[in-house]
Formats: sequence, structure tokens, C-alpha cells
Amino acid sequence: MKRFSFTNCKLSIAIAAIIAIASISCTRPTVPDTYAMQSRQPHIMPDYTEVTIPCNLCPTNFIVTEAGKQTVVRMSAGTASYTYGDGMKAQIDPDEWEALKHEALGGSIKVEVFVKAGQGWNAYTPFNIYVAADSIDPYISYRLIPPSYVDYSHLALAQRNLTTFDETIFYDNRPFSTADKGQCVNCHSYQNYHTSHMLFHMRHNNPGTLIVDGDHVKRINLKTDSTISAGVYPSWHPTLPLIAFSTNLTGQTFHTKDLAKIEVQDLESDLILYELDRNSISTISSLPDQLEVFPTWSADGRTLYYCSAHFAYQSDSTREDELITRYKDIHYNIYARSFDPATQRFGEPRLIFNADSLNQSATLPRISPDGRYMVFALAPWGCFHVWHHEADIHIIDLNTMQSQPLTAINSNRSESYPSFSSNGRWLMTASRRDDGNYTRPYIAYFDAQGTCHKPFELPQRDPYHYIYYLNSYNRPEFMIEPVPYTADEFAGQARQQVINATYNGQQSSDTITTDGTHHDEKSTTFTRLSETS
Amino acid sequence: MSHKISTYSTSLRLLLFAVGSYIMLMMNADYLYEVQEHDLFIGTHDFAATTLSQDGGLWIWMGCYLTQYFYHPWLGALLLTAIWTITVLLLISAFRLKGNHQLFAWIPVCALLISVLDVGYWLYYMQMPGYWFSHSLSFMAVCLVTWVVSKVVYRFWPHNIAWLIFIVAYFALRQHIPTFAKMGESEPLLSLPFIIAPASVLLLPLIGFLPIADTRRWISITLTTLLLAAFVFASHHFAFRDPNYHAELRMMRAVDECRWDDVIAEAQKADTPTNLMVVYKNIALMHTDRLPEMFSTGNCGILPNSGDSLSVNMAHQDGSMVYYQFGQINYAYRWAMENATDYGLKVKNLKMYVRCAIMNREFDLAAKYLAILNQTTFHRGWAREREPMLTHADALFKSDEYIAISPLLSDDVNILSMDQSLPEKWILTHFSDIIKPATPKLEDLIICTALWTEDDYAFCIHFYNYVNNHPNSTIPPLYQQAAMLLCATEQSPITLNNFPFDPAITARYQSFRNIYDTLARQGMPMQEIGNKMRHDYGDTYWWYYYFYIDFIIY
Repeated sequence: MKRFSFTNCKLSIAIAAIIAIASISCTRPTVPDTYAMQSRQPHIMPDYTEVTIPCNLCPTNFIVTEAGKQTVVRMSAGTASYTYGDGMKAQIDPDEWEALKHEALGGSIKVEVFVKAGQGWNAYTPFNIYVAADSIDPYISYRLIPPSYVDYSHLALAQRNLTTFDETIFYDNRPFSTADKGQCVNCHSYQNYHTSHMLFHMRHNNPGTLIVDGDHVKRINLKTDSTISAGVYPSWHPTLPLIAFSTNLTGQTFHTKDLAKIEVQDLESDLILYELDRNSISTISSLPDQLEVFPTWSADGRTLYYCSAHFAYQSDSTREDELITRYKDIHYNIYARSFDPATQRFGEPRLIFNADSLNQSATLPRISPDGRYMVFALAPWGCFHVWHHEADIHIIDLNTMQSQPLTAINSNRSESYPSFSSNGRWLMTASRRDDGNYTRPYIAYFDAQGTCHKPFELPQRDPYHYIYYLNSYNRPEFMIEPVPYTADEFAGQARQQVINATYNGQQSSDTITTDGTHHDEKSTTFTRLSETS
Repeated sequence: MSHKISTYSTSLRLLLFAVGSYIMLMMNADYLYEVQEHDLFIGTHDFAATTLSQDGGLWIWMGCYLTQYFYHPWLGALLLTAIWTITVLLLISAFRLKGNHQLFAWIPVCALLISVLDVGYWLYYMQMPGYWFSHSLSFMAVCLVTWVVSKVVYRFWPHNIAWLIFIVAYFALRQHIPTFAKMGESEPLLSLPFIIAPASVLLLPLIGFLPIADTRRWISITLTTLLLAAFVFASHHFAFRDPNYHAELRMMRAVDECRWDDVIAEAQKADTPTNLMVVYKNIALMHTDRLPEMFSTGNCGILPNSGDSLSVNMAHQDGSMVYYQFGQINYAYRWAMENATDYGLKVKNLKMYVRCAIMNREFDLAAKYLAILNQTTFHRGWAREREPMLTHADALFKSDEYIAISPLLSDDVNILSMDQSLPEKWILTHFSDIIKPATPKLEDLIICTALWTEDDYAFCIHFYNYVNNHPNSTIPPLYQQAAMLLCATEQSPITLNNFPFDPAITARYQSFRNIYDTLARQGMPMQEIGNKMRHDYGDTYWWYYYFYIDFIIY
């Protein structure tokens, strides 16, 4: 006869308890049988209600921000239906998400939200997540930076796989930062969405521009005696080994009351062209009364767009003071210059968007891959719209030259840094709509008819991430492939001997007159068209 | 019996040294409280992941976790003492120290105690989260590994090779020796305890050769007393004891908690307060509507004495709070952000973010920061007190801070400016330049800042306006003192001679002038005249104006 063992009994109970706990934790939440129906959609964070997502996007996990401690979320499309709920979180299983998207392709996923409030349950009007047949570039990259002022410490360039939640740092400034001297890193940029040709700048400690040129990585000093600074805002020519940069003498001042808090201004700025093969720089545009900045190439590489503000200093001795006191007078227009790839010569500047006439300032233009649309950020003044709450994204149809605000993608807080995906169907912006201070990537569907849909915030594995995370996602850029180097490899490359670029003179003479008017007056008329989305 | 005595004396020694350590820590309770304000532990996965990904991340994470217990200094000190006591026990056991030799196991702990107490003004510049516990924890872990492995090894090989195990464990588990450096300045001496601690352990095997193994009680008591005295002396001597530093820490907390009377009382205890103490005191006077007492309560600040080459900047010390209390919300937010960026995010920065976001009505932003503070152990109460302010205007309007600061917010002209990292200078210039104050509080402030900076022109304008705006009121004695001085000695833009000064003030000023003229005629140097007249006139603006010539803004 087997003797009863107390130890064995305890072990069995423990195992049973573990199995019970595990099975409870694996049990799906069930939709309540009875509930009070609320006649509105639920509040969720991030707001994925009625958004359109690409077919290859990772799960859109969210938190239900209604009063309550427990939620049940049912997501269904076609034959697929799943429930989620962990406290107030809905974290979607990746395989089930794929099944839901597959069923909803070209249609929508229906999302029903139930919240336990007190003893009973509330149900909310279901919402849809529309799944577009158009895919999105699998990667984006951004700089992770606190919304800081003058000082900086830890900065990183990161890439995010949009089909999963994987984020990797491909450059970290910490190996080059000491208590005495830090390193700033900025302006990651790619040639036509490819990372085989990319660059970013390193400033202060171990300075230079790290340029990936196929299999080679070079550390270039783009500052010459003939240019006002090293290269700043870059734009790769889509096919040729050419990069247009602005050169800027930039400063910051601080608002005492305005919630914009910071004003970033250029005391001077010009445009230069860097030829990779010759390691040489030439000036594209440099007029003393013009502040030229934010170059961007058209998709065919035959036009260079850029912004320029007419600002005539009244006295050379008080330039900085003037810039501060007259900061609301600085209005950037958008110009374009034709470019002949054969001769590598630029044509005359053409005014594309006269923001100044509207008492506004247009910055950060980007052209759609089909060349038809230009998007840009517009705010009442200045060039650094990430700090301007009024900043919105606007669009110009380059066929008709009609412009309008992209209402669907805008919010009552700052939107800036717009960019198109490589297929032109997705439009990403750096938005501060969450809280006014921290920049987050928002992506909107831009359909074939040119209609912009409600944007969605970059999904995160833990939907609480954006609440606790104290860095901004700066300068979000689409990429069709991952960056080919790790952070360690880039750190190694960054230590290589810097190569000085040479100066090769002026590209062509400017013909913008000093009062800011222009020879080519074919510019847009500003219309505020209502937009359907 | 002898074993019992040995155990008894070991325990007694441990108790004595533990109590000694605890007392030394508690003598710096004001500092320990600010330590946890200058650190941060958030109970989130993100915080753990970020912290653990650093070099020595586990120690940092654990250090941050334990540092938060300094919120109750007695509790944090108890935990730290416990870690040190365990460390000593592990060393005694691992190195098989007997009798009086055990006393030497306290040397590394003494070094660790000094490393906690000698930080001084580097508190504001350290980029080492969890510093106060993390090194003691990693050292204890090294000792634990040494103890475990040496016990195991001893079973098979009866030789004490604890020193060898200690070296291996130290290099495997230690944290990097901290360096105290900021832009062009460093203090290598502060790293010394982290070298002394492991080095002294390596000397423990040699202690056995010292002729102190005598077990006679009087020898034992004498040695214990001597080493305890040396321990206390060393930790006291090397601790940062500058009285102004500690007064600043106490005032910092009192300002944070709106205990204005405590702020003023603390300032008045100091003979030569720092500028920051003067600023704190004037903030307290301003918020209790007593700003015209600023000179009678001492307004002559000095530079902080950092004890080494470290140059201290008010912006880094508590610039954000100074700006906040003067209603300069954007600048307060800016400096909280700059300091968090440069020296790491701290409870102090987060709380300032919340304050500024609420005052700026950026409630979504405030909610974000409050959500983070809600994940802390000891500051969630502070956060929950403020949560209602986001949704109920009444809760905000009735808060002490809003009541204190809102009269200063009506200076609502936005300007673009820079402060050159000098909050005191910016505030004094900004307010003394305001022409039309909208509230009585601002009215006092613009006059007093003009006096503070000895901006005679601005004062005369402000005084003239003040007198005209208050035709039937008694003008504060300070303003009369200044007007009397300036109408007599400077070319005032406005005639003040006809103002009906209080006869008592006129008589006192006459007496001041007579004494001053007499001493000056005797050829007495200005500094000596100032010292001589301080007793009778140190509370007047006249004395400040003539003799306070060391106003160095930092």
C-alpha cells in the first residue's frame, strides 16, 4: 500500500495551482452577456478609431481610457474574431492580427469595446480599423531626443520595423560623449529610401558627416572656408551621387510666455551641393538677404525645391538682436530650381508657394514619388515648426498649383516634417498632438485620389509606451530596407580619419532680387479647400 | 565560554560601528532627503529596460530603487547601514578575521560612508543614478561571492584564498570607479574611496601579522574605541559640512513645500548666506507680502563654497525652482529640462515639469508627467494631490502655489530672450524693467529688484509711480530709505526732494551719513567702515548700497 506523503501532496497542490494560474492567464476574456450601450465610440490611446492602416502593419495595441479597471475588446473581420483585455490594455496576438488583416484586406476590422464600470459593463459604439491593400515601407528611422533646449546628452538614431515592434539603435552618441564634451548627432538621410546610400551628421565631439556610399563609409568634413557652416539639412539626389545641403548659422532663444517655448532661427543660411565622387562642394544659392534652407529633390531629380525667407538686417552690428525682435517677420517661401543632370547646372529660381503674402512661413517641403504633390509645414513665422503649435501640414497639387491644408492629418498642435512613403500611399508627420511637447510619428493613408485619411500613431508593443517615454521621435523617415550597419560598426567608422571636402565655387548666379520678389511669378494661390477623408 | 565572549564582542563591535554609521548618516539627513529628490526610480518596464541596458545596470537599478527610501532619511540610512553591516560580516567570515582583527573590516565601509557624504555640490552635477546605494550594493555582492566561494573552496582545500576570490569577484561584479567631472572641471579625490575600499580588503590577510591579537579586555576595548573614533573622525572630516550647503538643502525643501517661514528663519541663521539662500529668502518674503523687508533680513549673498575646484551655477542648483517662484514658467520648464538632459532625470525635474505644465494649462502634458510620478513609491501622493487640478479649475486656483505665483503671471507680455545661464541676473533685470505692474505683488517686486541690482534709474521711476498709485498709503520704510539716498546722492530722473519722508528715517539717514563721513574723513577703508557700521545700519538699504560690493552672480 502506498503511504501518503505530505510532501508529495504539497507538490501536487503547487503544480495544480501553477496550471490553474497559467490556464487562467491564457483564458481569453469573454464578452459580457449584459451591458449598457453607450452611444459613442470609446476613448482609446493611441486613437486608432476609424484609421486606415497598411496591410503589412504590426498590431495596433491600445489602452482603453474610459473609467474602469477591466476591458474586453473584440476584434472581428470575416470569419476571424478574437477577444483581448489585460486590465485596460488590448494587446493583440501577432498571428491573430495577421488573420484579421487578411480577412479585412480592402475592408475593415470591427472593434467592439466593453468596459467594466462598477458592477456592470458598458459597451461602446464599435469602430473600424480600415486595412488598405497598399503596403507601407517596412522601416522608418528617427532620432530619439528629449525635447530639450540648448543642452543634449544621450542621442540615438533608431530604426523601427513597421511590420513588427522591433526597434534597433544604429547610432548611439554615448561612446563619443564625455563629461567635458558631448556629441550631437542629427539629420539622418537616405538616397531614394535606400540605406545603401545614407548619411548623418556628428557635431562637436568627433565631428563630421558619416556618409555611406555603397560599400564605403566616409567621414567627411563639409565645412570649408567658403561656406558658413558644414552641411546641415540634407537631400540626396534620387539617382546621382549628389547631396544638396543647407548651411546654417543657427541660434535659439526662449519665449517667456508663449507655449512654443523655443524659437530656433537662422542668422544666415545658404544652399550647397556636395558631389560624392569628387568630394567637392559648390554653392547653389547664397544671397545676403535671403535665408535659404530645407532643400529637397523631386522624384525625377530634375528639380530642387527649397525654402527661402527674405530678411534684410537693418544693421550689421545688431543682427542677433534684430533676429530676436523681428522674429515674427521671418516668412519662408518655397522655391524651385530646375536641374540638368547632364551638366549639373541649376536653372533660375521659381516661386512655388508665396507664404509671405499670407503672413505665413512654409518649411520642410517634400515631393511625392510620382512628382504630383508637394507637402510642407506651414506656421505663422520662422523655420522650426516643431515648436510652433499652429504648424500644420499643407499640400500643393503641382499640376494645378492649388494648395490646401491637409485637414485630416492636422491637429491643434504642431505637425511638421512630412514625408511620403516610397509608393506614395503613406504620409508620415512628426506630430505633437499627444501632449504638445513630445513628437510622435503619425502616419496617414494618402490614397490614389489624393485624399488623406485619419492618421494613426506608430504602434508600440506596450501601448503605455508613449505615456512613460520622455524622448521625441525626431525627423521620421521612411526606408525600404534596414540600415546595413550596427551601432558598434558605425561607431568604428565614426573614428576614422576625417576627410575635408573641397570648395568648388558658385553653381550659378542667383536672380532673386533683394526684396524677395522673383522673376518667375508662377506661384500658387492659397485656397483653403475643404477636404474629405 | 570563550566562544560566547568572542561572539558577544563581535556583535557589540558590529553594533557600535553600525550605530556610528547610522548616526553619521543621520547627521546629514537634510542632504539624504535631497539625494532622493536628485534621483529617480520608476516602477515601469521601460525604466527597468533602459537602466539595465547600461554598464552596471543591475546595480544602478537596485541603487535607484533603494535611494528612493531616503525620502524618509531614517529609513534610507537604516538600509544603507544594514548593507554595510552585512558587508562587514561577510568580510569577517570570508577572511576568517578573529578578535581585534575584525575591526579592520570596517575600513572599506568607512570609505563607502565617506563616498556617500563627501559629494557636496557635485550632487547637482553627478550623472550617476543610484550612486548612493549602487556602489555599496556591488561591493556587498563582491563580498558575498568571496564569502560563498571561499567557504566552498575551504571544504576541499584548507587554505584561505579569500583575497584571490575577492580580486576575481571584484573585477567581475564591480561598478566602474565613478568620476566626478563636468565641463573642464573634475575632482579625482572623490573617486578615492572607491579605490580605498577594495584595496583595504586586500590588506586584510596581512592584518593577521599585526600584534593585536591579545584578547585582554582592556586592549580590545581600547582598540575598538580608537578605531571607532578614527572611523567617526574620518567620516566626519571628509563629509561635506559647509553650513551654507546644508542650509541651502533645507531651504530647497522648504521652498518646495511652500514653508515660507522656515525659509526665512533658515536664512537668518546664516551670517554670510549664498546668493541662492538670499534668493530663496526673498522668494519667501515675496510670497508672504514682506518683500520690502529684503534688506533688513540680509541681502548680501556670497558664492557657494564648493570645497574644491567645482564652480557652481545657480541654474544647475535650483534654477528651475527660482524661475518658477518668480512666475517665469517657461524658463522654469527649460531649466528642469536642461538639467535632466545634462545630469539625468530626477524626481525634482519631474515635479517641476508637472508644476510648469499645470501653470501653463498644458494639462495633457501634466497628465503624462503625473502618470510617471504615479509609478514612484513616495511621490505618488504628491502627484495625486495635483491630479484634480487638471480637471477642476478650483483645485488649481486654491492651491498654495497658484495663490503665491499667479499675481506674477499677469506680466503677460511674451518676449524672446536668453538668460546666459544666469537666472538671478535675468530675473532681476526682467522685473526691474517692467514699467506697468498689474498687481501689488509685481509692484513691490519691480521696486525691490531695482534696489537689489542698484538700478537707480529704474527705482526712481518705479518709486514715483508707486507714490502716485498709493496717495493715501504709508510708503514702506525701505522705499523711503532708497528714495532718500538716491534723491541726495544720484542724479535722479524724477525729483524726490519734496517727498514727505518719515522724520525717523530722515534722522537715521542723517546719522548714517554723519558716521560714514566721519570715518571716511579719518581715512578708514570702505570695508572697515562697512564692518563698523554693520551693527547699527546693516538692516538698511544704505548699508547694502555702500558696502555690499561683492555681488557676484553665478
